[in-house]
Amino acid sequence: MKHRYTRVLALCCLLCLLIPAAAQAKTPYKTFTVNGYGEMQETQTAYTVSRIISCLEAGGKNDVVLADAKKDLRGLFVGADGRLFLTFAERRKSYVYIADAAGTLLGSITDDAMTNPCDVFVAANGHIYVADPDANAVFEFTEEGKNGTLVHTYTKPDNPLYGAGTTFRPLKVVVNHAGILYIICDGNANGIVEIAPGADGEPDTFLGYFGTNFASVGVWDMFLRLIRTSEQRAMSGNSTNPRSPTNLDLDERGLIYTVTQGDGPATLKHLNIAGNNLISGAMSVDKPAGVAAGLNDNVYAADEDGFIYEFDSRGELIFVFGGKDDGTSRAGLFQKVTAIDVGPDGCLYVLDSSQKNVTVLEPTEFTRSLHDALGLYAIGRYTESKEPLESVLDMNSMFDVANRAMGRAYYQEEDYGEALRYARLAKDREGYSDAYWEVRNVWLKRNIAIVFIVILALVVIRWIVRLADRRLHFLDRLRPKKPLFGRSKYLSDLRYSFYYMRHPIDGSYGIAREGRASWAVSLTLLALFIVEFLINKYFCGFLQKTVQDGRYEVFSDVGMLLAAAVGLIGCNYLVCTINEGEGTVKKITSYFCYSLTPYILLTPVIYLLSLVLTRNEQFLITLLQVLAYGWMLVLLVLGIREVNNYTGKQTFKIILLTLFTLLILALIIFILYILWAQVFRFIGEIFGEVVYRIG
Amino acid sequence: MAERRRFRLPALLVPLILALCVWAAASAETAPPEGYADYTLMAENDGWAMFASPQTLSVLVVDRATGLSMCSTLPAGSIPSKPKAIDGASYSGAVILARNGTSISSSEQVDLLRTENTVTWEPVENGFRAGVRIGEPYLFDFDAVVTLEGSDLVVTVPDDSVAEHSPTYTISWINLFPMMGATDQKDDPQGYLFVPDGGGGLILMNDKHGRFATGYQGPVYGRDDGFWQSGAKTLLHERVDTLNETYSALIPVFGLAQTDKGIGYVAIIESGDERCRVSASPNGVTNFNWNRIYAGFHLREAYRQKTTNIEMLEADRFHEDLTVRYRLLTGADATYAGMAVKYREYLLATGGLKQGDASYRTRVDFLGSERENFLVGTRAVTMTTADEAREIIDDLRAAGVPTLFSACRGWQNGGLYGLPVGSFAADGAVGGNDAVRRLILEEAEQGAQVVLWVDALRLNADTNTFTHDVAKMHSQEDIAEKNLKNVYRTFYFMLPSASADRLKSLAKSLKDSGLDDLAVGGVTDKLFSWSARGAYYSRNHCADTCAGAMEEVTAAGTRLSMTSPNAFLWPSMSAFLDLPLHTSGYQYIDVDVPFLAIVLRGVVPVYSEYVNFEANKREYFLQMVEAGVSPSFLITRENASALIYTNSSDLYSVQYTSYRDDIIDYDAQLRALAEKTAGAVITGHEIDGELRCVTYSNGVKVFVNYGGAPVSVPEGLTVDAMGYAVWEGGSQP
Repeated sequence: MKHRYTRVLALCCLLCLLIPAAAQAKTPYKTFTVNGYGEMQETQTAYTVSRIISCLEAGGKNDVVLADAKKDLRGLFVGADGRLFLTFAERRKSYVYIADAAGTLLGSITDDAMTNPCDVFVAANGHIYVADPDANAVFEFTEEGKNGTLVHTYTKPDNPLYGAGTTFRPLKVVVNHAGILYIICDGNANGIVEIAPGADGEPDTFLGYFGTNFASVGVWDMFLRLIRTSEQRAMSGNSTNPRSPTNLDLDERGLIYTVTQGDGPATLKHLNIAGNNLISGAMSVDKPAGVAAGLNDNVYAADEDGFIYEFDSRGELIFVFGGKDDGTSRAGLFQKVTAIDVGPDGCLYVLDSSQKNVTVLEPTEFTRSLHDALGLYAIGRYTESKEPLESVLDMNSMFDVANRAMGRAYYQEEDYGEALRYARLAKDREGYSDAYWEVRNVWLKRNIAIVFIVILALVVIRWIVRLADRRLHFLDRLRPKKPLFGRSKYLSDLRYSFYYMRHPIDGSYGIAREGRASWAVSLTLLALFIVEFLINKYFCGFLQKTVQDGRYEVFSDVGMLLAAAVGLIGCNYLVCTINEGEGTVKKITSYFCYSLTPYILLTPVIYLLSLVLTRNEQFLITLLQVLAYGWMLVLLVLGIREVNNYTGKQTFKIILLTLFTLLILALIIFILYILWAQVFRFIGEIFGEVVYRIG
Repeated sequence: MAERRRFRLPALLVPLILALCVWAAASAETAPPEGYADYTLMAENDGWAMFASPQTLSVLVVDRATGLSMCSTLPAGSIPSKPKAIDGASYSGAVILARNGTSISSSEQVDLLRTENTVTWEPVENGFRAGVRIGEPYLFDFDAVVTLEGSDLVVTVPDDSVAEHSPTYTISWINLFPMMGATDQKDDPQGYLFVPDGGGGLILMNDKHGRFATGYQGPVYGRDDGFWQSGAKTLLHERVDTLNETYSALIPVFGLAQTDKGIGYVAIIESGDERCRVSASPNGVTNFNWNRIYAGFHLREAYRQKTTNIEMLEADRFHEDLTVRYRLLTGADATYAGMAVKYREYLLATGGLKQGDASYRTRVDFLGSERENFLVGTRAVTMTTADEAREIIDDLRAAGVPTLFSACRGWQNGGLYGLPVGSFAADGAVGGNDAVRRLILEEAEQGAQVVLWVDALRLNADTNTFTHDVAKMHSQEDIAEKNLKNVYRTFYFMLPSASADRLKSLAKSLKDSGLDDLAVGGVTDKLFSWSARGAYYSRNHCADTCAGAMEEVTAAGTRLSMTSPNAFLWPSMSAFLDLPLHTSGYQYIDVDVPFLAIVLRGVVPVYSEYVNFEANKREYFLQMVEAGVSPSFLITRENASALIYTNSSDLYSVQYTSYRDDIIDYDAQLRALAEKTAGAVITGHEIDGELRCVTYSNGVKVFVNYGGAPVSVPEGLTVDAMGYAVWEGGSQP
């Protein structure tokens, strides 16, 4: 057997380009997904390198070595039968090579008219379309004959709507089931060129531009446009033009995916028949090179630097993996990706024009389970989707895409408790709110009678006790002899803050004239404000929480609040002093801190509501927040006016001056920080030099 | 009398003639083969003859039985009249890369063809010693001692013979025998180069079509963090690093096999391995159409000066003899499996590896506690207490997993990253010292081996204000690992002496508590140069310090399990944790082979990397079956989501309930397999497409089928798709 294996191994030497490259090797890249907070989170490897095709085997000298291509490899298409179509340009002749999935050469398409094929697409009828910018044409071939047969050439539309001065340099092409061509042309920012083939010798029909991107004109662009001469504007290019899509693909329904570089969250678009984008806010792809519709209603986008993104049909990121070759020449890392496509078995084919090869990536068990689950979920078979989802979560319980789908599946099954749990794990606020509404509803249905009975009982008991006390006076012993807040100055002043809240003008008079200003109470109120702010920020209900679980920045929060308080009070004092204001530091601090009382009183209510309300009742919390902040603002303005004895106009001026002073103060602090940072760096470098010298 | 004389004469003549015949026959066999007429016979034995052309350090070994040969250079008789640089590199048995001044960019090739030199030589026992004197402007001296020891060809450059007389030129690299066994691709050779990346990989000798600009360049024992500086990386969205680290070479070994001829070698770098790099170039690299592999020794590293950012060379060169032992292989041994077997034999014979108790255990590691930020400090995140770990082990025992190996992580005060650890002080969150000690001792009584795992290399910058134990690079910067994790973002490397001291004190502390086991990581797979108080230390000092400490600890009675240990630590190793089953996935590596597993299986317990994080579980399971290693799981009682705000947020799947069934299933299958191969080592490993066959020394064969269809094998078994079968010499079990 050994000899047989040796012979086989020797055979493998000859055929190694057909076998998996470095089979089962460690994956050179990590795979990430996004968690519920939108952060990247590592997960199991989604795709592994199955093989690398760098040579189309035809036996000996007929092999096509991709490294021999004289121009960039840019066009790749994988047919429904698994065949590979690859554009290839030699010095004098250009081809579309056809190979099987293992890389064995099956045939070629060529014609003298073809000079620089950049893209290839195989339509449902088997016709092969080749986009060639240098030939200013799209060629349509059939596979008949040794090198295929050219059956049609699409050239620049003879239509004034196309634009007489607009060139026709096709870079990418797809053809839908009706035979309509969608062509991305080099330098044409009007949109995707839509051409219907002419029937029976009739000329082709230009149907118009499709899926035109929006131009974004910033304030700076508008300013530049305003001051530049027409020559300067011409030289700088027309930045107000929309960006031209980089690549496109068709999904199973004939809808078009496009990727456009520099469009941020709109990089990936899913265009319906009207050309409207069905996706809002997909993760940006920095340098999109290719896009390919997948098998499970998902879509793949390839970044030129080798990052491969997988999105679901709504544009939510499922995986991102891959990366740029760091010089180690590892399979699965890329130098310059130019195209991506999906095989019928779910394998990804990635074309690298620098490495001049096609890397085939196959989904792992983990990914197959996830695809199964999402596929079932998408068609409404929620219960069936739970099994593969459980398999996914067994492998990665922190995979939020699966947690979210699991929560939704439980919700559809009306198991709201589990739905709530999974929605919380997935940080899925919408799902959590829906599930919580149901859970609360169930609870209310079960307990509403008891709640009312308890409330009623408490009211009755209170009424009975009061009635009895009126006759028997048994509660007199418990009543204080003097009012509670009248016993000490501190408590009295603390009580005064509530009075100030309700009667700010009288309250301000008290601060200014009646000795109601108090350092102790002011600082107490400020401390309470800070404590409540922190509690509400970190421990409020999930739906209201603005920070991630487990992330605490208490020092920073307290520092910011104290800095803001000190800055405001200080600046206000400085401004009031030079504007004949009557407020002292103590008085200004007092009205500033007393103004915080509405927040201090309302925040506990907001906090409690955040624990029991859903997104449907969000308005209640918002209302209370507006009330608290508005009330604070009114108290502050009136405090400034009354304590300093200003008119309304003066008050307005003082407020503006205070804000301006605050801005100047911040600027000074920033400049000082910069200067001192330089000093510290200088000292650090000297220290480093000393350490280096003395060892 | 005359009759007696007549009788005596033939009696004398016959032996004389016989002797002449034997001499003639022997002379014929020891003549150099065709194309090597100028070569001198330097040594011979029953199996091999060694010829040499000392002027170019060209050494030819000939298998006397078959006449097959391998040479350290291209044949000296075919040297071109106007040699180019590539000729100099391929016709010289030693090639030096020299540096002019300290500039990094002026590396110059010094060889024995194009550079003025004189070579004198003298015979030594079983070989010769050549003295090489390189002339102007380089003025380097070195000797090369080449001997034939049985079937081993040994080449040594003694450290004391290396001299640099030039005021400006220094030696950066010495490459030895750069063409040993090399094959010309135009001859359509069949065979492969074996590289020690990860678990082991083969570069097949087939036409690479000039696809690769470089070949494998693997520093033995990984990169040197005392010099290494990260280069520019392309980050996802300019902030996320998506690339995995490559594996390092844990063993100082490389090999070459010409399978069509049945000759090859496994090369063991015996000395100077700490500064050695294995270079394997398939055909087409730099337009050179040969397949070759060799060892290069880095005598001077470069680094960037901290304050000026100027590139500098080490002031003093690396000091150690540079020795490569080529163990010559023929016939069926001239395969990667033969190489692994010979390397194992070499290790066992030289004490580089000791036979231990290699009985089967499934490895179930526990994560005790971690830390997450909380208000103004951190708080413990308890994942598994000692009592919970015992419950899990007991539960598994009740479910039919009789013996386990468990390394507890995050047991120490401060949790997983409470580093460094110098004594037995368990975290209160996991139950404290008493609970941990009770867990270990009570489980030991029932057959489970529970050990405490510690990272003996790293120091947590956030919990250690005083950093006098931190190692510095040659550039005087601290050797540190930075990350973007949630709690702790900087870890320093400790001085090897500090690591050694803490390791010894921890082992003693455990010993005082009656605990005889310790699992170590960090220092086991990192080897670095460092500077301290104006002095510079090379990687061999680090290796000596760590190996010495571990030897001392084991001599005191503590068993050391090691995480991916470099080969120089193997003498003290009682178990190998995290054995790589893959290579790094370089494009030029065509086939991954379980070389490390073949070496170690049956000698010491060998455990895989964690199964938890494998996306292709079935395939990984089959790889474990093929390599004969035990599976490893990382387990917690709590859900992994509790770790989301800790530094271990990348441990996304660890909860016991998720893995209980897998552990039981894996244990049942792999234990049954291990029982059939108990006490046996792997003697053969063959590949037939998607089918792999592993042969054990007791005759058992294990077939593993990675394909999608069942396969029938000549032994009468049918191996299921993505399955395995065991042949015990008779009918299918």
